[in-house]
Amino acid sequence: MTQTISPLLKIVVGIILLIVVAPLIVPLLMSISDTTYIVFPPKGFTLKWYAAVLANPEAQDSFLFSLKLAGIVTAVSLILGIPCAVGLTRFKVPGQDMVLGIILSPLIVPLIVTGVALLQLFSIMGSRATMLQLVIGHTVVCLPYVIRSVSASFVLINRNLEDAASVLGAAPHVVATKVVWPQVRPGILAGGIFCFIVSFDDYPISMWLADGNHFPIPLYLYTVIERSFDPSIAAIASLMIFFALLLVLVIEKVFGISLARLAS
Amino acid sequence: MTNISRRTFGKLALGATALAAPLAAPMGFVRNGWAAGKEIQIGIWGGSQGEFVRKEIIPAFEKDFGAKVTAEEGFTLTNVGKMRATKDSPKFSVMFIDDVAIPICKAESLIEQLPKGDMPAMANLYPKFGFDGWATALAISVASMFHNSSVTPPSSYADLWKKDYSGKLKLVSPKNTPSVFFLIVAAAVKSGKPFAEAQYLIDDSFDKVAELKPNIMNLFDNGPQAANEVAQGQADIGLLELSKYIYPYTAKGAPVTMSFPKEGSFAGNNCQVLVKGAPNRDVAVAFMNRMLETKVQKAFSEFALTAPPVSGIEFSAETLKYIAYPLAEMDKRGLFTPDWEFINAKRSAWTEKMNGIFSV
Repeated sequence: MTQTISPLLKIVVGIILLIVVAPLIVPLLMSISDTTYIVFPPKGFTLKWYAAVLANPEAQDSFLFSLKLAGIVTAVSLILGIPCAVGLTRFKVPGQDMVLGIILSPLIVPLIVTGVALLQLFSIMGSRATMLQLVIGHTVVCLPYVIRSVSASFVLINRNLEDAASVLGAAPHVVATKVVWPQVRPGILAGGIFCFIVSFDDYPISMWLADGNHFPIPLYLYTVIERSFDPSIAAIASLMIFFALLLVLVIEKVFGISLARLAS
Repeated sequence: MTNISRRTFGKLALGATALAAPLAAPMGFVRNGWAAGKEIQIGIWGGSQGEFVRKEIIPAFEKDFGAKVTAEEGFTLTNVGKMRATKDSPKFSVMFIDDVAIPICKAESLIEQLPKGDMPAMANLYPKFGFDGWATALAISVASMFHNSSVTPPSSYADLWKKDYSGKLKLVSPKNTPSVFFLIVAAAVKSGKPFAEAQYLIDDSFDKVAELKPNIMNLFDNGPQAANEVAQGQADIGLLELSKYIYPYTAKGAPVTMSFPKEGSFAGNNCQVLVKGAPNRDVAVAFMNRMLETKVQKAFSEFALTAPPVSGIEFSAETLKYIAYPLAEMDKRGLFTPDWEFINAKRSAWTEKMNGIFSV
């Protein structure tokens, strides 16, 4: 049976969506302004700022580096986070609450403090491996997202289905792939997406650990804003909005999970 | 077979070596070879200055010395934070910071005195930018009011307190260094004393600061963004900001420029320091010396529209419109450098007071 949605609810939802989306339209409009500085509403029309950004090797390097970093961090976080979530939800572990508290602590401590603490730690260790430092730093702040999301999936899983499959003769690997995986997949995917986005957007950790050869896109954006506040800033912001949109569409298309399930 | 004595053989060998040396030079001899293969990490500023250092100065230095320089862009407080965090095992060799932080770095033993003998380019440095041997300035900006070109700015800071400016001013955030300049201005307006004396009267001037609140539209913490907003007419006047953030827009044709009230202006001194226990200290010193060389300073100043701290540079009339140079011109404009040791000790309390006034 389908429920009918009241017109009032539709209007309210429409207004909320407009409020959420409207600020994203502003940089889009500013990015096409044919002026050497940012104006709103835009004056004239040009796509030269997009051409300038896309042809800029610094912007390209930073964007590709952020993609690479976020990809590695997502993989590492999933490799560490999934077994951790399974252990915490399915087994009695001594000091379980403490372990969970430590893992989730980066969500409570300001990231800027975590960043400077990590820099101090790596300095004491004598580490000069910037990429490794960034991967570790980002993983520390991304891991809680994976563990929270995956843990929730494992808590909500219907254990009776596993028991039924086992009783009916399914081997453990069949139970894992045919019964457990379909139930936890949205949680794992959601954790991975959060992880990727948190890493891709991170500024406070990277600010302490990055260097000129490892320069993520949020740091690049900040330096560009300091250099010159021209419409190329709005063009970069618009490209990042398009990228996020593309990411959601690809995930929806490739993995076939609906946004509603991700949000649930 | 001719017999050759040991002495004759030695002479021949020396002669052959002397002849061969110039021929072999292009193959084997590298100028500044002592630095080859070494690496230093430096903390620089962002903005147009950082862009120039990374794109122009570092590649040329690396080519000349065969050393690698890795630069991290940041700002003064971050760079000081990085020095603190890595104090026990320094990661950075050279740091770019503003003069405000030099006393802090000195007091916390984060930096060491510069080896003047190893830095020949310091010969041209104006003494006032030598900071007792603990740092050298690299670029000097003027901090003052900036305004939309269609607005006639006041000739005195005192006029900003008038009702005519109600809701028309943008004020620099307390977390930015130029907010200290604003506090000195408020103290000078209240007391009628010059900046040099007024800076010690700030504690008694917060009532004057609060009086300006009705005229403040909002606070800003990003100079280029504030310049852009004033250019668009969102506010008439911004106070106060460094010329290096404003003039690049003026030069691009944006309707924003700076004005210099009769009370005077402030010097924003961007400096370099040598980190204590710096890895590859010799390369670090060579790099700091390179930063002061006339050719580098001229190009750096023209790109970022800042004044160099060294003498003997010729600039075009167009560049001189935006910078206070040479030293006589800086003195003529009354560029004031505050007593940072006194101010740093009080700054966190002043920041809280400012937040209390403007956050309500």
